[in-house]
Amino acid sequence: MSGGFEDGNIFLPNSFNPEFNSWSGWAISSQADTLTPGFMNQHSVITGSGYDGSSNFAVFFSSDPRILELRNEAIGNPVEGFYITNNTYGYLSMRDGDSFAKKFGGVTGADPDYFLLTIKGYHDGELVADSVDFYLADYRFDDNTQDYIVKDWTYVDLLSLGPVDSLQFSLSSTDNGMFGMNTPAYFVMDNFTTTDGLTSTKEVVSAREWMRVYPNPSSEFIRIRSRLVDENSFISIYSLDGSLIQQARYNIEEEAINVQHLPKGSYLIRLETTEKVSTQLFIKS
Amino acid sequence: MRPNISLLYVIQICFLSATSAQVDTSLLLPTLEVKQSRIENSKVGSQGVNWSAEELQSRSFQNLTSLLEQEAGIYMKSYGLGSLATSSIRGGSAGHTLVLWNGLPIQSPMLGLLDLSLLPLQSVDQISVQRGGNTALWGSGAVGGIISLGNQAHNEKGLRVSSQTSFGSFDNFQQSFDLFVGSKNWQSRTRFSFQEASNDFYYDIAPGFPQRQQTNATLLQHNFNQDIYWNPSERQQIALHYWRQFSDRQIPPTNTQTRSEAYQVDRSDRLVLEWRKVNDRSVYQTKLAGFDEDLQYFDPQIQLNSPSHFYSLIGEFSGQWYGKNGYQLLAGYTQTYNEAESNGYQTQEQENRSALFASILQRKSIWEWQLSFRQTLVDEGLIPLVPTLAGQYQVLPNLRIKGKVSRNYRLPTLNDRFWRPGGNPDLKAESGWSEELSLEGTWSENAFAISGSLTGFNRQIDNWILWSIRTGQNFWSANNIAAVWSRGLESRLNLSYRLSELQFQLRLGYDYTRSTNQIALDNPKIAEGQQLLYTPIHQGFSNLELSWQSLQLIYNHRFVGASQGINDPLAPFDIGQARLQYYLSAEKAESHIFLQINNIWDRTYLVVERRPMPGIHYHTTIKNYEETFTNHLPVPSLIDRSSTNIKRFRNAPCTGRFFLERQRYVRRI
Repeated sequence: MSGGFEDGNIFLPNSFNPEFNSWSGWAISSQADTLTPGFMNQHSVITGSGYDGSSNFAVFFSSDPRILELRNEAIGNPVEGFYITNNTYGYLSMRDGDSFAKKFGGVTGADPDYFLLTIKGYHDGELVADSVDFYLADYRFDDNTQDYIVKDWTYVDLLSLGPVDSLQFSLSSTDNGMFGMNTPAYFVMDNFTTTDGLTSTKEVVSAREWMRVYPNPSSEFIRIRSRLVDENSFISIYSLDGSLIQQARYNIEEEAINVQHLPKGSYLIRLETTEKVSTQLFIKS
Repeated sequence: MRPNISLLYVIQICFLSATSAQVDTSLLLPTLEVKQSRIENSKVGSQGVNWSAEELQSRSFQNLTSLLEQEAGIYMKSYGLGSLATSSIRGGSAGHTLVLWNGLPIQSPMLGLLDLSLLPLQSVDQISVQRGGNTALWGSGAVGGIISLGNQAHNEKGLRVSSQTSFGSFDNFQQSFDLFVGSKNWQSRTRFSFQEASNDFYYDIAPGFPQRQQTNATLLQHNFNQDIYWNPSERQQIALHYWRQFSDRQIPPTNTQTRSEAYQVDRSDRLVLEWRKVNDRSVYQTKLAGFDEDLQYFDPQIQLNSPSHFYSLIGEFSGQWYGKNGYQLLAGYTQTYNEAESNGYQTQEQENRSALFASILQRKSIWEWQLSFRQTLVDEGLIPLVPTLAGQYQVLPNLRIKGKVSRNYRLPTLNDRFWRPGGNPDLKAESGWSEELSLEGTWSENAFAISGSLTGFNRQIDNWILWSIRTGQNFWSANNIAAVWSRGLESRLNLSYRLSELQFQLRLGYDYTRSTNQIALDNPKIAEGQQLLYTPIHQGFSNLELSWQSLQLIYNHRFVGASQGINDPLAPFDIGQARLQYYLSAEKAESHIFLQINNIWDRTYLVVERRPMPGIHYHTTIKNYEETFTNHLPVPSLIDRSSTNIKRFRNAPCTGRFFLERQRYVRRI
């Protein structure tokens, strides 16, 4: 099953297999556990929050190249850039190693390892010649004290790609085996900015501050309390793969939403107003 | 015909291991030890190694892994001291070695393999390794070879107690107890062993860098065995075998991992109930078995808790008929029910396997041949009929030729079929044909003896199951996408010489194994013609044994050629072990003292990349026996093909001294 997240003038595709509960591509997350290693913590960002303290961000996971599509007025225009960092799983795996992937630097610490994101653009169906490389970790320095793994939000400028309709993201590493790349194939993105005049999407605000979903977990209904509401507010329920399950206009300050029909599991509740958007995780019990 | 008591005594106490000597058709009817006959019969045309109860007693401080490596030249894929170890025989994968306990398969139906590092030698009385496939007689997995572990009755009346204490490097401590009680119709043997070790060895990481110490490598293990034999009549025996294994192991970090907190708890309870009825010219045997196992993997660091559990119920009935002119007929039916649960399955998964098998064998003085078949049904799916044709012929008094052609298969595991994501319930069995041909020669003069063998083998396996990412998928899945061609040469040379009380024995072995993927794949990345992972092309071993009175010195040296791991190539290595043994004997008691030095040349080596191995380390073991036998019990009849050796030892006392005598005449191929 393929779905994705449409956010203003970009679309983040997600390939999800509901039977096996596996996914690849893009996911929206607000998880901020910076300490727990391993794939169970794959949705957390190593910085502890989205860019500039925001709560939501996009997590990329794929060993193969994946696409980000431009929409609306952004199509055919240059992209300004975005902020990037590692997710917690990838960062701690590169720093400490795990049972599959090596600690960067290897046994002695001197291995010239790297973890590289390469971004290319498509325009009118053709791959643009230029590409942008960003090292999510770089241990190639002669002086090992300069080796680093990105753990802060860092800006990636994409203007050099010129006009594009979509972007292709691919990850590569120096730690590879017969079964492919051992380094966890993740990175985290926030504040993707296009040059179509609308620039970024709506301001993403902290769910903790602006909205509350309760009871959570719940089996029958939920209520949403928020200070954001205006006459153009919508409540949307998404599955974790980004598929829209339910959407309704939100026009009173507190409204009960029936969730009995939802299968047990985790969902994203998204409140979108004219200027702001906020998302919170909800568990159907 | 009823053999004499003294002959029985020697055989039962000292010769429970059958050797490959010439057949003496003048002995014989089936015995209560007939359960070994099926193993024996499946050796026609094959190469293998056997260890008797006595030989295992002199090695009881070892584990199965080191025994197979050092004395059978089998390649063991070991993740480190106390960690997972699996075998590769003739270029097969771990699942292509069938492991039997009392004739029944004990591999996990979920994984299709058994962790051989968990099997202490104290728990079994006999081990036999056969190279080459024989699915027709033994079922799924008998593709590359068979490791057979057995417990067997000692038809003795009296009491025997033994204990063994072992200390070694890295806080290794082992303690075991063994109690045998026998009466006219009953025998009971109770065994308990305990082992703990920190395995916190230091290892080299690179020239110029300080050594690093292994962490999170503690091992705790215990085994309990209870065997009960009841002879309700002279021609019947009911046997119960129970084996409980428990281990709690920390999983150490790789050498490119800062730390690990993972640990694994394995528990297994295995119960086999056997009934055997021996007639003048036939033997009937029924086995009922229940195996119940847990494997729980925990990694608190990554908040992973991965429990799995399975149980297997097995029922088997077989009959053997002994005709004129050396003919034997075997036929049987086996039914297996497996049920497993795991986080990786959506529900509890079940599997039913049924099989009919039959074999006809003819033994003559200079030749033998055997034709076997098996027809298997898995759930509703019929597995194609698999035959085995084997034979051997004594070309000259000192030269024998052996050969075998067989079709073999390995059924997909429950994980292959039901793991989510990626399991594929419609997987076919891996299957293909194997051929092998051997020449064996012997020559002796006075105190000097020499024997040797040269074997060539060829095997093609199609529908080889690999986990791969298929086009359009974003997860790994099990598919019948590979084909593997294995072929090679195996050579063995044994020399022995006796000069008064000084005895010398040298055994040499070299294996050349090519096992190549025949289909190029993208993911996993495999080129056509590429050697399988963890399958060295060249392997060699040598064993030197020097004995003088009650003192024995054994030196083993192994060479393992380069191989390819999942991530990195693995360099060739050679490694030596030395053991000093001393026996003290009194009329009713014995003590054995062992001193073993492992990796005596302190080599740095890896068997699996990123998994460090220890340098030089030591073991000291003391084993004490005390016995109060009154006499040996008669059994109605027996079959044992090692008549040549029996005659030499029929009057030998069964003491520590005897062990030395005994070992020199055990024939290895």
